[in-house]
Amino acid sequence: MNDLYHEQLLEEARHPQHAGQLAAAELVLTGTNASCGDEVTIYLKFETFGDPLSPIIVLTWLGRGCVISQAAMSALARLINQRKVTLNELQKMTQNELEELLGLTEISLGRVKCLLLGLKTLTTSTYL
Amino acid sequence: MFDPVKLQLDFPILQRQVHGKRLVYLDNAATSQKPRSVIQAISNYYENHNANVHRGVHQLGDESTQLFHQSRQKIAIFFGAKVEELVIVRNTTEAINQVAMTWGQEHVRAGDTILLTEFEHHSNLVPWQILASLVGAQLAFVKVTEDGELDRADFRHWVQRESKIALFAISHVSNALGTLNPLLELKTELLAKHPQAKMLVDGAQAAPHLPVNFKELGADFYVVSAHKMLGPMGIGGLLVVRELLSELRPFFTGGGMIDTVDWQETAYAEDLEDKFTAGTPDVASLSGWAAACEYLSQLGMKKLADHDHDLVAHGLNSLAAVPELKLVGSPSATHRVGSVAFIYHGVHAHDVGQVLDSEGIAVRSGHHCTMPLHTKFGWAATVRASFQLYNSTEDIDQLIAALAKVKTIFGV
Repeated sequence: MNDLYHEQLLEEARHPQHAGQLAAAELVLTGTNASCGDEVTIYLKFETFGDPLSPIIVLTWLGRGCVISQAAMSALARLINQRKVTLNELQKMTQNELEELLGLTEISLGRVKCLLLGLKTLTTSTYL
Repeated sequence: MFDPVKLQLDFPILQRQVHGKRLVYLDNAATSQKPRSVIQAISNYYENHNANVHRGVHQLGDESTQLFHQSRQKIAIFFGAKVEELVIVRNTTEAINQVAMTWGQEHVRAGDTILLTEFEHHSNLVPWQILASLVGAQLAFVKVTEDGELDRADFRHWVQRESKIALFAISHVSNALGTLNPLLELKTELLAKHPQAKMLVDGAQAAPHLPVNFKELGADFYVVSAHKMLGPMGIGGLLVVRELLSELRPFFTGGGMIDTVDWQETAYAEDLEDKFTAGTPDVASLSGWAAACEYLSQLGMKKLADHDHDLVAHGLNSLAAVPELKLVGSPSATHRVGSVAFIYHGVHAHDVGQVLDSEGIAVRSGHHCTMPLHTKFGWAATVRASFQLYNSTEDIDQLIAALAKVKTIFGV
């Protein structure tokens, strides 16, 4: 468990990356975990809006909730802003890859939905 | 002398460790652990007596049928009810759904009011939403005050204002806040203006802790789940006042509950117990539940209620001394049963729960199936520690000690 709340994860949650609203957003997605109250709102700008194969060029987000959900969204935001990925590519991202991104080695069953909140919000969008 | 630590020996699961630490189980409002006598009653049924009831003319069939009746009898006596007033269901949720879909559909009319409270579990809310939309009735909610009490002035307001309240559905003890409700006083006030109104009481969180006498509570329907009171999962009870039950249409129909069956129509069994037992009953679970009632009765529900009161009082005092916490619900143990709940400033309830788990302490974090109540007070999620007879004040002290680790990790 002490492995769970390691310094990298806590840092990520304390200093969320790419946090904030985006005035120029072309797409705004919201996701919640009803059972625990975690929530994220994600603002997206694409290279070519309307083309599902077009990469995301800017992603910002706002959210509240547990450390896992917020740190995972923050790490995901950093990755997306660095690599210019498409929503289609994000659909192939696995839970393991997200865990690695946060330096997590194990996560209990009950926390998986916290970890996946941001990713699910992006990949279940009707924009796709 | 009541000794919870000694009673822990009766519960095999409490002997195990979690993350190398002694298990401190404080999630009893979600489900309780089971004493050996309950586990043995279930395995004894399958090892020695298993056969379908009321059918085969053979020894095992007789034994199973006898166990079925004896178990029903013990459970009914435990609740101060007549045995025919007990309808066996899977759980509290199913019981409420059955009342909504049978009595509700027949008696609640367009324009009637179904009165609820703001601290009902979703299981005592969603079925009424559906009934209301089916028959054109409306829902009204008695307010809950900041310190977790039912707002009596608001109750009076609804009772006086509404032209016809068909049903008042309320928890005996709130699962999220632990509030004990004055059922009889409320019923008396309700009937003075609405003589036809019925009262359904969700007893899920009261039955594990308090002496419950169905005859004295003023409830027309009283619903419970076995698993919260040391019994097995998947079985529960719907208690219905006899006169009301005899007029009720059975929710489940089919084998076992009939008198005569024709191609086109069926006459139901006259015997209420038969009429409301469609299909093969779960005799093993029923035996387990009866064993749980026996275990509780032997210890004495009055004594258990006193013990629970001590735990709640100790819990409230201890939590109030932790500056990082905000208590939710009543700060006094006087009308509080079974649990204490809190918010840790700056740390999400799930993170608190996870850190406590690493210390072997099991609590519940979330909205405890009372989402509108949490939204009303602006609580994202709360942490609840809930008790059973095997918990001691040391368990609570261990919870408090483990909360220090939350501070260390999150630095707030």
